[in-house]
Amino acid sequence: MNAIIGTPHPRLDGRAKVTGAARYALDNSRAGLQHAALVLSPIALGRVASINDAAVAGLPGVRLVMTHRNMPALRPDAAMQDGGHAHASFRPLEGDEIRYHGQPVAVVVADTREQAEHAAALLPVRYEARPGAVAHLPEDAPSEEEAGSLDVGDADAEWEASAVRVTADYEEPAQHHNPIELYGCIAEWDEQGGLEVHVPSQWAGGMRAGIATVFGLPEEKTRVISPYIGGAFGGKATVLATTLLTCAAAKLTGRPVMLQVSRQQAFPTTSFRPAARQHIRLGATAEGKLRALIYTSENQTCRFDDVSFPGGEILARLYDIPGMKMREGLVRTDVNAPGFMRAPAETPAVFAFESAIDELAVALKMDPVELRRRNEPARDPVKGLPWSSRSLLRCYERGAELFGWSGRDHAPRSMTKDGDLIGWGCATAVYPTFISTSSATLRLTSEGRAEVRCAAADIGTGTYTILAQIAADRLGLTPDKVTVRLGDSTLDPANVAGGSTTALASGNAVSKVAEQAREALFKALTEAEEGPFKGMSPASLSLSEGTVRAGNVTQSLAEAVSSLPRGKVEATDQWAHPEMPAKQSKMLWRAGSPQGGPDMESFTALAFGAQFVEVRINPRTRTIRVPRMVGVYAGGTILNPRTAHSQLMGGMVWGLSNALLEASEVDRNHAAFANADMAEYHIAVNADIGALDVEMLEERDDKIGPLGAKGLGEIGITGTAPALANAVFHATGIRVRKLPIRIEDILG
Amino acid sequence: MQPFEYHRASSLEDALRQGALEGASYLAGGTTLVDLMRIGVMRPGRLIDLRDVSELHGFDTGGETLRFGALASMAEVADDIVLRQDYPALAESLLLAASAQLRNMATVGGNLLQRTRCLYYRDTRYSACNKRNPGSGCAAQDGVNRQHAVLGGSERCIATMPSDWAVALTAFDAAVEVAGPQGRRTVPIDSFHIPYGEHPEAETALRPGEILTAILVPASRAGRASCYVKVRDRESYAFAVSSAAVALRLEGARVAEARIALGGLSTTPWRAVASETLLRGRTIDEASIREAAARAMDGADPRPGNAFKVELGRRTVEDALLRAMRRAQEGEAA
Ligand SMILES: Cc1cc2nc3c(=O)[nH]c(=O)nc-3n(C[C@H](O)[C@H](O)[C@H](O)COP(=O)(O)OP(=O)(O)OC[C@H]3O[C@@H](n4cnc5c(N)ncnc54)[C@H](O)[C@@H]3O)c2cc1C
Ligand code: SF4
Repeated sequence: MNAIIGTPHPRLDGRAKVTGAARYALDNSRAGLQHAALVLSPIALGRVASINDAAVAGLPGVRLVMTHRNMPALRPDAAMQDGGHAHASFRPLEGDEIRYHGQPVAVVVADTREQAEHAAALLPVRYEARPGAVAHLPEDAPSEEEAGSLDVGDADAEWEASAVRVTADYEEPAQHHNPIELYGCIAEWDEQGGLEVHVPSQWAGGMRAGIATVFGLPEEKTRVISPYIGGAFGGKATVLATTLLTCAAAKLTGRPVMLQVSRQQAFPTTSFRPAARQHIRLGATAEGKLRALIYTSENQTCRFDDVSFPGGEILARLYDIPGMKMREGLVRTDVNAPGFMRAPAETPAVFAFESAIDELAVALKMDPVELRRRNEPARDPVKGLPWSSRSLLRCYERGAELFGWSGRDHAPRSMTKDGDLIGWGCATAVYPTFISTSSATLRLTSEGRAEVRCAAADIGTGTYTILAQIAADRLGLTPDKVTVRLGDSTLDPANVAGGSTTALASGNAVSKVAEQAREALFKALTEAEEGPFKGMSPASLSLSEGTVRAGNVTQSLAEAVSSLPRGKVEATDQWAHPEMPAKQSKMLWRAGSPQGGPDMESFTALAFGAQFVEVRINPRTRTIRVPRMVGVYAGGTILNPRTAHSQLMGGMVWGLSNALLEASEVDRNHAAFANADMAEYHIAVNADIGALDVEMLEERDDKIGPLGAKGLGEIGITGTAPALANAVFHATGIRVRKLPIRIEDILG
Repeated sequence: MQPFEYHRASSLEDALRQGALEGASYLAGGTTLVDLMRIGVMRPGRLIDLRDVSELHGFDTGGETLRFGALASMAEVADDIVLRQDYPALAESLLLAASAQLRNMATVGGNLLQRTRCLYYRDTRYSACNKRNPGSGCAAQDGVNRQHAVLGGSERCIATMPSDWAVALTAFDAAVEVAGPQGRRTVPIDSFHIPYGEHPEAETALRPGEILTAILVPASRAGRASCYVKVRDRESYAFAVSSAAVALRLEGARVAEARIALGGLSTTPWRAVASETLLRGRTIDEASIREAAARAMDGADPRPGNAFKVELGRRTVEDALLRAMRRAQEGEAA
């Protein structure tokens, strides 16, 4: 095999993206396009008392004022976590009820965007407000409903017997996705009642199913198109209400309608990372052997769906702890449904837990890396299964070496540089290897090319490139001879681009159909009536450098395929892990989201990494800057080090942003996310990022599938915040148990 | 966005004539105005573009008075070599503001007239905002107010004046030159931004129809040992959580002149008079600096969401004074 998998091949879609040739959803303007604008509720709870649509109906260009009175009837669809495809089961404009601040109450459609926005701003709406709305996680939050629980051994007894104990509470705020590409869509109905939707999508197939369900359409009359996505991070996985409203408006006007949700309006109308709080008790022997973890969490959700992201399941896999007890609760608040955001369960949970581990190291007066070394589990502590592969300690060793960790004085406030306080911290990064399934088609053409068709999404992660590399590798071609089509619901079904599953599932599917196509080609050539390979054994043929070979007989792939009666060879199949139950893998064909792991029948699979962060803090004003970060990861086979590096680096950049900047601030009087724009909701900028070293270790994993590749899209963010918080403690002696860590938390 | 008419003024007279019409607003770089129009906070019916009015352009940093035409861009002024050497605080206040793209568009005159970043002011879904909607109340008093003022506020409004440049100008006793239907006048910078009092909607001494023509700064020997310290959560592209413009002139080890102005903490650019007085005539060292900084926030009236700014303000002044002291000492040595 020529080495194509594992090479840093540049992104195949890079040129199209930087030259503007790539067409994103809202680039698909068309004749007769009308523009929609949203009117959002200034109250969080109550009802719409009246809307005077006549007042704006006559304004220039206005074509439609859609309210709960003329909204077409929709059929129900559940939130994705509850088994459907929707972001939220509750949909605005279905009635007069208002359940969260910023809920849409009307959609105005006009000939231009400016006309629509102007009319929307003038639309007179009267509201009847009800008091008592809550959008924050209350301090005394009673979590009456359980979101998850886990027991290993006798945690209480282990805690009682622990010589050294740490008890601490942690808190993370709600956060909003701010992809560079805003939310929005173009919806167009055809004369036969079919619906075409251009919408940035992590899951063209799932969105098609959701939209078809809601409008009572057959799936073949519904199409979702999304070849390029300008950042998604989980927010574009499900069918948003704004998408349904656009489809409904287009149905009423009978014309294509485009909605562009503004940055400000995206905060209340789309998805977000819910607020969470964790209470941790961690017990160990005086030598630093962990004994007990007692963990409870409160997880914010909405009133109408059970969406939540408890992280205990993952924490239980980090270290060898004989006694663990975890109880995770739901706290209902008056907000839109929360949703997936990069490492949704892991990001808050790992921050809390890896901070607590550092607190324990401080209590033990032990090097935090050494503490982890003493607690490395030989098997999955929850299921007792062997690891598919696990290289956490190797990551720590290499990371410590790269960072110069041995130069650390472990006492807090011991390091300075040019008068600034210096702190070094480390933490574990972890993400479960979810094992999904995917289908794909591969066609060999008479031009000697390969075409891959798969409804998976490239959300900027490099899917186009790695799938081309895999196909090329299996077919003895160069990646530029492979055309990959993604992001269209008419293509072969794939799972949502979530849970870092695409590389593994769709990668294995493409590998499988590429091998099948190759074998089918060999068979056809050897069974042909004539031709150079006639009568040979298929096993004696090989394919390399675009040429079919058998001994010294050769023929170009183009000629070989042309010589066949159909002038092409095609293979279609599904790849599923042998340990995935058939019932589960079949869900793929019903737009389900089948996902196994981290524990399968015979093994448990997670990806691990170790992160190291240096902070530099002004001794007076206490501004925190981060001159350098190091992350070392093991993720099985690295399909493309360039795109993998990009994911891990991006994850760490966001991790810094998560640690120091990002919070959706709640105005408690209005139960609203108040800092709803990018001037007030800060994300990291270039100047915040210093030296950033990412390294990937070699790791062989032959349990998780033939490619042996673990997902790497999300792990990068998980260890940064705790490593940074631990560094802040090291620099200042102040332990900050909440995010983001701000000046006021360490003014002292 | 509300529909509007657009007029490109050909001369100052033309601009003043057009500016007297109902619903008119002057347009300079547009980085505040167009932004606020798009989010429905400002709704002028008529824009008078000042870009072609040549006498508003250009600047001169030589001579006894530094003069900055209102339409000079933030970028070109920040790049001026004389300003960088002789008045680093002025140059730094511009360089640390906004982003490179914005500084290319934005003008130094428009900068003094930018509106507060109070998030309730900027979001029309909130009805209570005395600035946007006089008499409606103030949602920030017990709302999200970390960025709000701890100096100069009242129960009517606690919005911070966000301009960094105005803070640095205040330290140097600058003045603003305006032209109006009744002719020209000059307003000292410390009475240009007016205390909110009863009417938070009135922010500056500019009268309806008046054009800001230039900014004047008297030459100062304290300029060389000056600096602008801007404390913010991220390294770039953020408004100040707190800031200080400081200039020192030493005679030997003694402070002959101390100029200290605060930003991000107050409703108008704020002169830390008590700190200045305390330093004057004193030997400059860490102790006298700490003592002076301790007085910088006299009169502060914080809310729970921004109480930390009282201490942060002092630390910011301390940090800025230490830097200015080092600059002054290096200057002596050179
Ligand atoms: C994202 C962002 C970040 C920013 N960050 C910072 C920052 O960190 N620090 C900082 O100081 N500023 C910052 N700014 C503000 C920016 O500096 C101002 O918007 C800019 O200086 C305003 O100048 P302009 O020429 O664009 O004014 P315009 O937007 O054209 O006008 C502003 C106002 O002044 C009036 N006006 C303008 N010129 C005149 C004149 N000559 N006579 C009479 N009236 C006039 C207009 O009618 C309008 O009301 C930021 C702005 C943005 C959008
Ligand atoms: S602080 Fe001022 S600008 Fe902000 S809401 Fe109150 S009145 Fe309006």
